[in-house]
Amino acid sequence: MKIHKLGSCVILLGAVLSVSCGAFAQGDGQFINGAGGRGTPVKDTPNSVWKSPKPDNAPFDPHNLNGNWEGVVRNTTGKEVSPFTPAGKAAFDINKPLNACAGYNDPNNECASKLVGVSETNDPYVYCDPLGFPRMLFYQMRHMEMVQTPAKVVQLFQYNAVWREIWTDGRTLPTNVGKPGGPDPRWFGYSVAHWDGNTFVVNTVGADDRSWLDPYGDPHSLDMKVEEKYTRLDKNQLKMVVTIDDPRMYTKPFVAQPGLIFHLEPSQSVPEQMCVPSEEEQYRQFAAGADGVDTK
Amino acid sequence: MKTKIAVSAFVALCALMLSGSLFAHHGTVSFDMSKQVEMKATVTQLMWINPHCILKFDVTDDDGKIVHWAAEFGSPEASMQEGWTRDTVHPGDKITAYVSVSKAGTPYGELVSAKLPDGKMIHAK
Repeated sequence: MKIHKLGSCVILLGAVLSVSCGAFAQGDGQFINGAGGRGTPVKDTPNSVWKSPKPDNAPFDPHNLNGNWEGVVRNTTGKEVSPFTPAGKAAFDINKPLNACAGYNDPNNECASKLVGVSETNDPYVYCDPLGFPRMLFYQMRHMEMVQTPAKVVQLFQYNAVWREIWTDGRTLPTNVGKPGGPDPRWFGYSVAHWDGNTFVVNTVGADDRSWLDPYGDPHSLDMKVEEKYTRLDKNQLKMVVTIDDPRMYTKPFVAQPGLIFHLEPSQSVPEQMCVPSEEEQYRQFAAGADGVDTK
Repeated sequence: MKTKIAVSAFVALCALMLSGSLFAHHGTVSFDMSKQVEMKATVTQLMWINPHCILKFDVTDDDGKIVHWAAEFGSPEASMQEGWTRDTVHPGDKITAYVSVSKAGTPYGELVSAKLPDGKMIHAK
């Protein structure tokens, strides 16, 4: 195979490309260049490269969250986490992420040095294990639907067609999940919510610690508490802020998502996006070949 | 193997436009994304699967030997937004594939774009 150096013009374009990639790495994992210019990097949130939805001055009920909300594939940079505790560092060291983190272009960045191919990763995601909570909020969050009922809000996720229930009937969270006599851990934990003015505040505990916090291999424990805040900014925009408090893994609470902006999906229809184990197996065979283990 | 790097501004521009695809959600650490190789290919199979579609094709190398290649690109949902369908290519179709190849030197890669039998360019992401 003959591979030639590209001309200076192309090198210049490559440099531009590199800059583009670097900027891109601050947010989403995938451009989507469909109608409406989605995928255009935006500056109005620290992490999202999603096209900023246009304000809509039409009347709306700030306490009505119903609808299909469109987000992004990936909405954390991997840099939001606080310093690890010794247990957190040990858990992080075991994980072998395959997804690019914010500093992946820097060879001295710890996250970049950890990146591996699909054939080497131990990311539960490549086996179609549940993304779990709160990773579902940070990854594959392309479409999310809220369905409000008098007693709870049901949150439907496009990826793998899973849902969680968020109780609003005044019940309290369990305090002994995974302990003797307590309820079992769950992939999406146990959630309750209340309104603080026009912000819907969701508190969650009991998330199964087999899941990763995010695509970068950051861990979480069963002790983790997650707070989500959803605020409808106008008729077309919904803002999500996520704070993590996991003293077993991190030395202090941190804001994992400072302000992802969703917008109402115009069609209100959710495209299917499933992780199918048999297809994933075919893909892993491909990936093994790409990594030098030819399976053909 | 009859391959060559496309030095046209068009391809470079495609690369620029498609920079996002370099960060497909399964990562691209296995591929040399700094180069794209132009391959005259004969399609053998389009695997329309999640998490990523895989295009299989044959390429004749410089010694006249047929090499079986496979290149991944976006998920079916993402690919449909670029105009792909499960019927875009069929076995036997002659196409030009632009591929960032495996760092391991195996005949695998990340499909960046393709020139279809009718001459139409289609992005992959």
